[in-house]
Formats: sequence, C-alpha cells, structure tokens
Amino acid sequence: MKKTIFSVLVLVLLMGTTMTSCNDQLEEKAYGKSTTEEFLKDPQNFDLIVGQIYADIKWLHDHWTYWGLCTLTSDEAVCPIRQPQGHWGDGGFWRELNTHQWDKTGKAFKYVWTYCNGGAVLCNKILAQLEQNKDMFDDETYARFKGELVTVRCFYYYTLFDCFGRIPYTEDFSDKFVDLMEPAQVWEKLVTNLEACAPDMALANVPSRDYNYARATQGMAYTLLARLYLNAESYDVPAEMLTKYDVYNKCIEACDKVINSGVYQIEDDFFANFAINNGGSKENIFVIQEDGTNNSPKSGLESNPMNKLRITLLTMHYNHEQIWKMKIKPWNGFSATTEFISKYQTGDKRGLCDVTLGTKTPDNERYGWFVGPVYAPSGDSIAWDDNNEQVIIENAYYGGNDHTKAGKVEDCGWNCGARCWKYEVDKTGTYTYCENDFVFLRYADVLWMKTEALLRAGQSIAEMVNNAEFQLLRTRVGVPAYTEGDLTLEEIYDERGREFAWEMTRRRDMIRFGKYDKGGYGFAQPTESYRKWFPINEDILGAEPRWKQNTGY
Amino acid sequence: MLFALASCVALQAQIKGTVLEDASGEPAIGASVVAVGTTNGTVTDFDGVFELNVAEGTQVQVSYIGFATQTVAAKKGMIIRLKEETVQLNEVVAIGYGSQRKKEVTGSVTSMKAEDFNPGVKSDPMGLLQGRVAGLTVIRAGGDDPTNTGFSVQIRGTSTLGQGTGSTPLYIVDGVPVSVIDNISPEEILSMDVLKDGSAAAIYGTRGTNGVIIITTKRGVSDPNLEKGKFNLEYAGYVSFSTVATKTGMATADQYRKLNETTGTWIKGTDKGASTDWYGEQLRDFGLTHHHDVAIAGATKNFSYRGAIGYKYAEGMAKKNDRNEIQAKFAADQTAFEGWLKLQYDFSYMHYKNNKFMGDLTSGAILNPTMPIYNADGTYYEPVGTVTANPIADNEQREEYNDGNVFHGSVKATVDIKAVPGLKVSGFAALDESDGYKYWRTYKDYYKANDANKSSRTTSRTLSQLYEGTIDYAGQWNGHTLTAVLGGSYQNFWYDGSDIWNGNYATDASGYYSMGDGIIDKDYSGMSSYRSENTLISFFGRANYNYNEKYLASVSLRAEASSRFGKNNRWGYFPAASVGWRIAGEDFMRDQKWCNDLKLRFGFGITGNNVGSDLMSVEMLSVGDDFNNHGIVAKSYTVSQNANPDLRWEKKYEYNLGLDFSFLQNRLYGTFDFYLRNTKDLLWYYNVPTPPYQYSTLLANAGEMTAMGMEYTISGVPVKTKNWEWTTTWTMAFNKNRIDKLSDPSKGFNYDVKWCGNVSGNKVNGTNTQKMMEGQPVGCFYGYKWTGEFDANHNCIYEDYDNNGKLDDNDKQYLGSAQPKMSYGWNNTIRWKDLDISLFFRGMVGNKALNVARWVYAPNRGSNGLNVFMKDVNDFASGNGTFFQADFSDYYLEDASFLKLDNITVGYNIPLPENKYCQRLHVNFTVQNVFTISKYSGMDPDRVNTTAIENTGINYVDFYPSTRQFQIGVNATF
Repeated sequence: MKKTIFSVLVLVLLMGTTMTSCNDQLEEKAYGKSTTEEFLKDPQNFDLIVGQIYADIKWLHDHWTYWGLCTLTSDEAVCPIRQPQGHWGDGGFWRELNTHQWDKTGKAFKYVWTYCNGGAVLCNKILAQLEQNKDMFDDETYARFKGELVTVRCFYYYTLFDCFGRIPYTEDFSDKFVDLMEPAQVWEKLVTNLEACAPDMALANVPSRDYNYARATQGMAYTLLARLYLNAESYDVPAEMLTKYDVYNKCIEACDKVINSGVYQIEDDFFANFAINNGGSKENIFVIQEDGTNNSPKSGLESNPMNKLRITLLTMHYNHEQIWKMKIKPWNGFSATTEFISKYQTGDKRGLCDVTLGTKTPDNERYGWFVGPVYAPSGDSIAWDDNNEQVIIENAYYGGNDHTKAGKVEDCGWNCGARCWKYEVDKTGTYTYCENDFVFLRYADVLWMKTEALLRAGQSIAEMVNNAEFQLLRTRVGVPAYTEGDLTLEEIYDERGREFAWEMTRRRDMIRFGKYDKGGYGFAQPTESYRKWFPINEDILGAEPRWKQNTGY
Repeated sequence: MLFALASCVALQAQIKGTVLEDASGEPAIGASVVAVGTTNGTVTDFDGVFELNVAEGTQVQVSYIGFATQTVAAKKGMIIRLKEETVQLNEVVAIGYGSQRKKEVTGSVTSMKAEDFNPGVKSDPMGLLQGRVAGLTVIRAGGDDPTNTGFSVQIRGTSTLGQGTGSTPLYIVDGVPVSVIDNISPEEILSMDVLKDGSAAAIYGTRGTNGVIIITTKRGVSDPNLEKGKFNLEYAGYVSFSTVATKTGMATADQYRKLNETTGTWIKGTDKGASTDWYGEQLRDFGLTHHHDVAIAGATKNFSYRGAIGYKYAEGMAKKNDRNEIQAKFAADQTAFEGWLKLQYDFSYMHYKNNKFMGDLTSGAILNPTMPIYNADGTYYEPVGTVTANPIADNEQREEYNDGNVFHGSVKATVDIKAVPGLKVSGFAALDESDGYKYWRTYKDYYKANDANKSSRTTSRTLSQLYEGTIDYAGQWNGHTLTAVLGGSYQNFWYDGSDIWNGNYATDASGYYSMGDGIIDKDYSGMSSYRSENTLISFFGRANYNYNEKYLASVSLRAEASSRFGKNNRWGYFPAASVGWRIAGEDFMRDQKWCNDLKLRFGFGITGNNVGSDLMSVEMLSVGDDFNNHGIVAKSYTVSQNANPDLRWEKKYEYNLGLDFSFLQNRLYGTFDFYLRNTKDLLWYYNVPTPPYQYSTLLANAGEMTAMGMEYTISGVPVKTKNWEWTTTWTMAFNKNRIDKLSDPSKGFNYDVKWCGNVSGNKVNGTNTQKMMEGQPVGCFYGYKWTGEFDANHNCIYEDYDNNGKLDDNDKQYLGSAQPKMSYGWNNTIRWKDLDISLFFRGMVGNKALNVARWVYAPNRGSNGLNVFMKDVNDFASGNGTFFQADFSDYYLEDASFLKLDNITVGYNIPLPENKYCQRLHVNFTVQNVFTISKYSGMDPDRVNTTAIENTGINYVDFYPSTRQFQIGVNATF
C-alpha cells in the first residue's frame, strides 16, 4: 500500500512538471499563415500589409453598402419590388430607401458602419506598426506610407461621416472606448488631416500612373478636401466655422491644386472612363481596381461577393444574359427614375439610347441608359421572359404586367425603368462580375466643384467657361457648350446629375441644394429633415450602448 | 492475514447447507460456496447441497449465475435462498478508461448490447440505436442517400449555442476518441454504451459536454462460446430491397393542367404540352443493398483473436447513386510471462467509394410537369425560368464520385505489477488515418455550354495520434471494493488537403485523371491547399468505491489543455462525483420478495465543450483581396478576425438523480433519470464596437443556458412460459431548455435578440423565422399569427398583436417550439419456441416544423412556371388555404409529431441436429420504415432536424426519398 501511495505521489509530481513543459506542444501552428512579426522580418512585406487598406474599400461600391444608400435615396434610381414574383422584396429594405422610410434595422447601415470603421481601425493599426518599425524604412518611404495611410483613413471616415455625421473618430490604435464625435468636429479633423498630409503625397504620375493606380495620391487628397469644403454647410458645420475656414475659397484652392498639378485631363470620350479597360483614363482620380473573375478570396468575416463590382448585373434585365452572352444572368433590379431621365436633352449621349434599337444598338455607339427591346439570342425576334411578356425596357413604371396601372414601389413590372449602361457590359462572357474599375473620384468633379464654389463665393466663372476641358465635358457627349449665363446654381445641380449619375455624388448634391427631403422623384415622399443623416443600425448600438442614436430615429 | 488463516484452520469443521432458488424453491445446482478471502470453496450438488470445511460463523459467499451473490455467516444446516438477479446487473458497462458492472454504476449510463440493436440496413452504427435509448436523439436528415452516411446525434437536447464543437457526442471506439464511425461494421459491434450525464462524461473533459458514446467491438476474448484451442467461423449477411416510402405532394402533369379549373383561375399553370414525371424519371424502381461479413475467431491458452472481412453494396433510390464498402478488421489479445504482460492489438481498414447522384430531385419535384425532357431534335430540353437546369441531363452528363480509406491501428500493453496485487500499468498508442478523394467532371457535350468540359479533384487527409499511459488499481478488503485509474493522454490531430480544377480538355478521356491536359484559364482553373493542426493534453484520475455493493461512490477529475484555447486560459479542470445506494442490498429489503433490485443514485459533474475550430483565438495574417502594388496586381495580407486571448471552453454543470429498479421476479424493470444542466461561458459571436475592434464580431465566452429533463426506460415481461415470452420496453424522454443569458455587459458583450432560422429559396429571400433571446428556449418560431381568415384577394389576414392598426415587426409573436415535448420508443419482442418477432415503434410529440419546400414553392397567385403542391391547391379550392404568402406566419407551420413503425422483424433459429459443422443457423426477415402516422406535409417528419440550434425544426428543401426496406438475413456459426 505504501508503495502505491509512493508511486502515486511520484506520478503527481511528474504530472506537475509535464503540465508546465507541455505548453510548447499547445502553441498553435498556423500552416501557410503568419504572424505580423514574422511577416515584417522582410520590410518589403509592409507593402502587402498596406495593400489591405485598398482591398477593404471594395465593399463600399456594393448596393448593400455606401453606393446603394447614396444611389437609391437620391433621384437617380429606384429599385421597386418587381411583380408578380416579388423580386427584390428583401424584407422591404430597397422599398424603404426608395420611399425615404428607412429605419434603424437596415443592414446597409450596419455594413457601412462596420466596414468604414474597420477600415479606419486597420489604417490606425498599420500606422502603429509603421511607428514601431520606423527604423526599417528610410524617411521618404516612411512619409509615403504615412501619407497614404492617413489619406485612406480620411477616405473611410469621409464615407462614414457622409452617411451618419456623428462617428467614432479616432487616430489611435488601442482597446479604449471611442465616443461619437459631432459632425463639425469630425469635419474639422478630416480637413486638418488632409491639409497636413496632402502636400507630401505623391502625384499620380510620379514615378508613373501605373505605379500609383488605384491608390491614394495628392490628387485624391485635394479632391476629398474640395468635397469637404464645398459641402461644409450641408455637413452641419456652424456658420462661424464656415467663415473661419473660408470654405468656398478653400474649395477653389483645393481644386486648383488638382487642376494645376497637370496630372489629370478630361477624356475625349465620356465612356472611356467606364470602359472594361478603363485603367488608362487620365480623368479618373481614384478608382477601385476590380477583378471580374469569379475568383474570390475571403475578405473579412463574411465571404460573399460584395467585394466584386456588380453594377451591370443589378441593373440589366434577366434576358440580357443570352443576347449579350453575359456569364451570369443579371438581376433586373435598379433602374433610373423617370424624373431623372427627363433632365437629359435629346442627343445627350449620357442619356437614353434609341428606344427602337435596344440591344441592336451598334457596339461603337455608347449611351448612358438602356431602354428598348432585348432581343432573343438568335437576334431576329424580341425575347420573351418567364412571365410570357416581351422584353422591352421602358422609361416608365407600371404595375405588374398591366401597362395602364400606375407603378407602385411594391408593384412594378419587370421591364420598368431605364437601365444604367455607362459602365461597359462585357459581351464576350469572359467575366462573371464587372472587370471595369469602379470610379470613385473623377477630374470632371473637380472642375464642377470649382465652378460651383466660384459661384457660391460670388466670384466670376469666366475662367471656367473659357476652359476648353470644362467645355469638353459638354461637347464630348453631344450637347452645346455653356455660356456664362447658362450656369445658374440650378443648372449646375441638373448637369451634375447628368454627368455623375450613379457615381455617389447625387445624394450629397441633393442635400447641399436642399432637395433631398422634398420628395417628388421616384417613389420618394417629402420627409423629415433629420433623414439627411442615416440611422446607426440597432445592432451597432446594441454592441456599444454608450453610443447614442442620431436624432429622429 | 497468514495468522488469521491459521487460526481458522484450527477451528474449522464440516458445515453442511442447502442453496435454493428463492422464487421457485428449486435447488440451485452448481452454485459456488467460498469462504470469504480464501480459496476454500465447493459447489452444490443436484439437491443444492454443499459441504464445506469452515468454522461456524465464518463469512461465506454464495454465488450462482443469474442470482444475486450473498455473503452469510456459516452455520450448520443452513439454507440459503438466492434471489434471482437480472442478468444485466452483472453485465459489464464501459465507462471510459475502465468498466463497471451495471449494479455498481452511479452515473447515467445506458448500455446497449448487440441483441438490443435495431435490425435493418444501417449506414452508420448510430442507426442501431435510433429510438432505443431514452434521451438519445438520432436523426437522418438528408433522406436515404447511401453515400451520405452520417446521422445527426444529440444526447439530452441542446445545451450549447453551437459555436463550439457542436452538439454531437464524443465517440470512443475501442478506447480511441474518433469523429467518424461509419467505418465500423454493425456486425462487429459488441456493445454501445451511452454516457449521458456530467458525472459519467466528465472523465472526457473538454469533449464531455455532449455526452459520450463508447463503442466496443468484438474480440476473441469477448466471445463466451469460444473454447480454447478451437475456432469459430461466423457469417452474417443480408439482401435488402428498398422502395420509395415518401411522396413529394406535387401535381402531376394532368393535375397541373387542370389548376385553372380547380382554383377558378386564381392559380394557373403554364402548359408546355408534354407530360413528364421529372421526379420519378430520376429514380430507380427499387434499390438493392447487400452486405456480407465473415469473421473467424479463435483462442489458444495465451492468445485469442478475431478477424473479420465485410463487403457492402448499397444502391440509392436515385439513378447512378450507390456506395461500395469493403472492411477488414483484426483484433488480438496475447498474454505473456505468466500473466505479467498483456498485449492487445487492433487493426482495421475500410475502403469506400460513393457514386454521387448528379441530377436534382428538388428540380425534379418543382419543374413544370408539362415540360419535355428532350427537344424535338433529341437534344436535352433546357428549362427557362427559376429552374434552368434539366436534372435528367445533369445526371447523365455530369459525374462525381468520392472514395477514400480509413485506417486504424492500436497497441495496448498492460503490465500486472504482481508486487502490488491489483496494480496494473498500461501504455496505449493509436493511429487513425483517413483520406478522401473527390472527383467531379462535366462532359464535353454537357448541355450547359458555360459549364461543359470541366473537372476537379479534391484530396483531404486527417491523422490522429493518441498516446496514453494509465495506472489501474483494483482492491477489495472487508467488503470494501476500490478501483482507481490515473493517467495522462496526448492526442494530436492534423488535417490537410488540396483542390485543383481545370477545364477545356481536348477529349472526355482526360477528365480528372489527366488534368494538366486542359487549358489554364483564370476563371475556371485553379488550386488551393490547406493544413491545420490541434493538440489536446490531459491528465485524469478516477476512483470507484463500494461497500458490500450497497454504498457506491465515484469521483473523477480531468485536467485538460487544448491548443485551441486562448493563451490566457490554457488549462481547464473538470471534476465529477457521484454516489449510489443499492437499497435492495440492505437487510430490510432482503425479505421483500417483490423487489429484485433497487438503486438510487446521484451525480454531479463539470464537462467542457471545446472551441469549434483551430486558430480562433489569435489573429493570423492570411491572403486578402487584390490591390495594385505599384504596378503589379498583388494579394494583400490581412487578419481576418479579432484576437481573443481569453477564449476557452464552454462549461456545463450537470446534476443527475436516477433510480434503477427490478421488481416481481424481474418481470418489471427499468430506469428513471432526472437531470438539470447549466452551461456557462457559452461560446458565441458577439457584436463588438468598431472602434476599438477592427471587426464587428468576436468569438467569446459569456452566455448561460439551462436544460432539464426526465428519461424513463421501463421494461415488462407480461408473458413468460417455457414456449412463450413477450418482452415490451418503453423509453421516453422529456427535455426543456432556456437561454438564461446571452450578454455580459460587464465584458462589453451585449446581445438582445438573435433572429435565426433563416429561410431562403425561390420567392423567399433571407427571412428569419426564429428568435433566440434571453429567457426563451432554443428553437422558438416567431412571426405573424394567422387569424384563420383570408381577405378578398385570398391573402392571409394576420393578427395585429400590438393593436396599432398596422402590421410590422412588433406584430411578430411566438408561434410554437421546434423542440419536441417528448420523444419515445416502444419495442416488443415475442418469442415462441425458436421463432421470434419484434416490432419497434418510435416517435416524437409536440414539435412544430416548417416545411420550407411547401412555403418557398407554394403556388403563385396567377401563372405558375413551376410545379405546385397539391395540398395548397386543394386547400385553396376548399377555402382552407391560399397561394404563396411572402410573410412567415403560422400558416406555414405544422405539427411534426409522428408515430413510426420503424421495423418488424421475424427471426427463426433453425433447430439443427447435432453435427460437426454448423453450430447455429438463424434467418430473419425485416421490414424497415413500415409506416408513419403524422399530419406533417413534408417528406417524412422523421427527417425534421430537432438537433440543430439556429435552425432547429426547419425542414429545408430536400426531396431525396426516404425508403422502405425489405431485408432477408442469415447468421451462421460454423
């Protein structure tokens, strides 16, 4: 018995020592993956870490995130529930955006919040890693990384701020609570940061355009600044700050930086900016580089194709698949409001294509919106859809299959509404999604912002009217050049709509021009003014109860 | 001891006594009578009489097979009346790292021997227990596709939210924890022991929460009929024919064409002219399954073995769909050095091949029955509309099979330390390897040009290495019995695999065999590979004690560490204790004739549920999306989750009160168990704020839930004569759970409600039908309540729950629970001479289910491009139903209670004349899945998964038929 007790004791002792020594065995091995420390043993890898700040921006162009919110709540687009099958019902989410009746349950509000804040946290984290490993880099490399990280962080916050106003702005990477900051303070932070880092940023063509393609450049920083200044008032920046910052002159100044850099120029062909191979456009200032193949690495916690550009899929009709040999069947969702289409004058290439030609429109003729017949694959007859209806897309909204009945947001036919065609459609069946790089910021916007700022600052716009590039914006799409007298604020508002349709500028333009809450377009009703900010999704507030909801929701 | 013995010898005298069977008064012939603590003993003669040389008053132990052992003081002319004991009381029950006799068990353990198993064709050993064990839920969710071998298994309902390793029990096969058990042939299983409560399962630490199923396979030593120096040859085999036992409920072409009249044009079909049974065209008339198992067992003085080889071929009801399986198994036991050393060897191997059905039975059910299979020119018709695939062409022009191997090998060496009686030291090493290969292709002439001429090949491997050392002690003194085990265990698992895909081959000959022949294209060519690993290290100990088999106690502790835990929480401790009182063993019960056995037991144990996958506590860099790396498109590097260094196991506290009884000469016996389970530190993805976190969710431990329940197993033998015997067994289980806490604001984890039970498909896009919230059980349906009325347009009118005049989210109310109130099984065995008949019924009561197919494919108002459920059409015609309703409501919720006659078996033991060759010949005829009584409209209420967590009770679209099987089997021993 004693022996037994003794051997048990020995065993217990043995166990104690083994227990501590086996902790090595318990270290997790991550085959094919690495820790940040291991990864940064090679300074060149820092480029790959910084790359993530761009990879994560991709979410923002999706209809479930920022692009969808901007487009569908403005007068550019509607996404009615298409009957009789109730396509695009999606729990009423699109309907609520169309009618300006959204509430705090909207998933898109959650996505924008999560991805933008996550992107900003990522920038802060990489900035912290940059500081930690400062001695790995020479001063120039360090400054370039830093400028890029700060600008992209400002871009994430700009997007978030544009939606919600009050945001948890932070420049630190820590586990501390970050409270919501009021819009005027956020605005000030963004302006200060961008002003500080813009001068050090690389010009887009130094050393080459390819080198800086789809990345933050000086042009991007100044364009963002110009937007912040021009819209300061609509961002609830108080009058004394508007004066203090002299926003319109500052806007002109920022635009001039871009204009005078000589890096950008207006393309002769409006559609070159949106072509499948639009990488050569000298007009695009900041784009998201797309991969149209079905090859989708996991990004973030959710693996779905939101990081693929799906703009042609969500607008084109189901039957476009066959005649255009599209790789997958489009979804027949978003289309333009009739009010928006009515702003185009005849002959404007940014407007409708010929209603009789439809898919027979020659490939070398480009238009901004698709209407008309969709032909069957053979090409001799118009296609029939699953409802036994001929597919003829109309710039009109009617109920179900009944052309005499007015369309309602919960009841529209499959063929209703003009489809966005400015992004070139791949008719070779090569790409599942859009290969066209998605345009976020464009030089045309800089010229238009300057024009508007001059007008709002009470200065002469003669220099713009005399600017050949500015007039090219009109002449390249087949409409007459502007005279000084044409350019009222109202005309600027309309022309910006035509020029930047579905480019995420319309919602802010409408707010700036006081039209967002007035209704009268699509299915939108006049609504409360608090809706110029979106609600913070209830799940977000559930996760952090110290954050308070935006007014009105 | 020596001195005591010497004094006994001095006073001993011849004692004569008689041993009788208590109930009948018949003499007990051949009962053994031994003076306690000595080898001095004898056996009774034909009259039950014995003579023994002991001193009067010496404790003698009287034992007799089938009767309770008694220890009494020796007295001249003594008469000992033995009480009959259920054989089961002495049966050996595996409890993990050891065994106990059933009467000593203090935890809640159900032991099932081969004769208790379900007959019939089983794709996996868990089918043997379906419905047989109270509290053990076994569900075959996907229909009877033989290539899909698994069952959903759960013990005592839900006590996790599913973010850990799930709720499947831990399987221990011959001492080795494994995750797959379909490589074990049912014929080779000796017993399956189900460890249900925490006190029994805690010895398995972080893997014990969901209970443990211990599978012991047959070996030479375990065969009581095997004589030394001889060998047996056994054959077991069957042939089975299966037919379709379920109906889709969809319209035939004729019914479809008449929709217009039936519904007064509210529901119309689109007549395409043909008449096609898309579903039936994809099925065989009957499926053939046959299985053969040949085993040889033999023994010499120091060596025994059993080797078996089995083959199985199983056809699915769908065309092209079958499974081939070949298994070999060898088990041997060697004793060496005069019993000092015992060696135990186990090897097994399985090779399988699954031919997959490549059509689509869902399309088969929902496709417009007036569409033709072929165009006029003989090419395949390509449907347009929601379904764009021709499932018959898909099955013809595509191909997929997977095959693989499962190896197991283990050696156990046990040294009997003779210096300390009862002490043994063992070392155990086991290797389990499995590999699987999947081959998929479409032919060049595949009718969908975009997907034609492609192939892929996937490889996966897993390896588990187990090394264990144990010290066992067994001792007895003065009525005290102690067994103890102390040990350490190391188990490492690794997984790796790769996948390649390519297309555009010159000929169909290349396929997946010569994939380099294709033309590489970014959109359809590619490759991937992975590897991961995890380790469990543990130390454990247990002591079982009893005094005179009356007072029983057991304590155990396991300390366990997993590489999956966060670095701040490496080791977990899992203690357990249980006690038992065998009331029947008390003196005051000895004279109670009606009571053969009565035992009360109580146990408590803490068990764990590990984190569900590797690398969850750390942030690791992995490849993210593309970006422009200064002129070159490069993969960025990213972390894909927030790190949580505090991540750890879920912890379950379980209390179990049980009663085992056997009354009336063992004509009525059974077990009751009551339990309370409290799970803490539930793993859950919490919404966390960004900033400071980069991602908006974090896997963390915070919630709590409670479950309680009762289980009854009652057996009766109403008839027992020489020629007739009828045994009937009822099992019943009740279970309830409640989420006590989802959030923990102190840690910053806030969660009010999680909508789940997500349904998507056809006209329904991501609608949630269930809600998980504090204070509520898992599996609560929430939605609108239908008032039973329709409006003028035949749409459902829903209850305005909050009376605010409009229908919104606040009107969604509780509609019922997906958890059954009770599940039950009822078995009857009637024996008449050599003929036996058994009938086994099982069922569930009180669970609601959502038949997703009926909802998402409900008929449209207006024209229907798809086929329709005739139930809805008929309901519409009679005013009791309507066409598709977009909102989820109880209109679509159904009672899934059912009663099923699972099987009828007739067996006959052919009486053989005395011969040299054949010892036993048994034939049986089984009908499986005889009938089901239920109001449920889906394929089979038995397939409604009640073991799921976030979508329990949701019967997702799945039209693979359940089968009815007719089986003829033979068992022979030579």
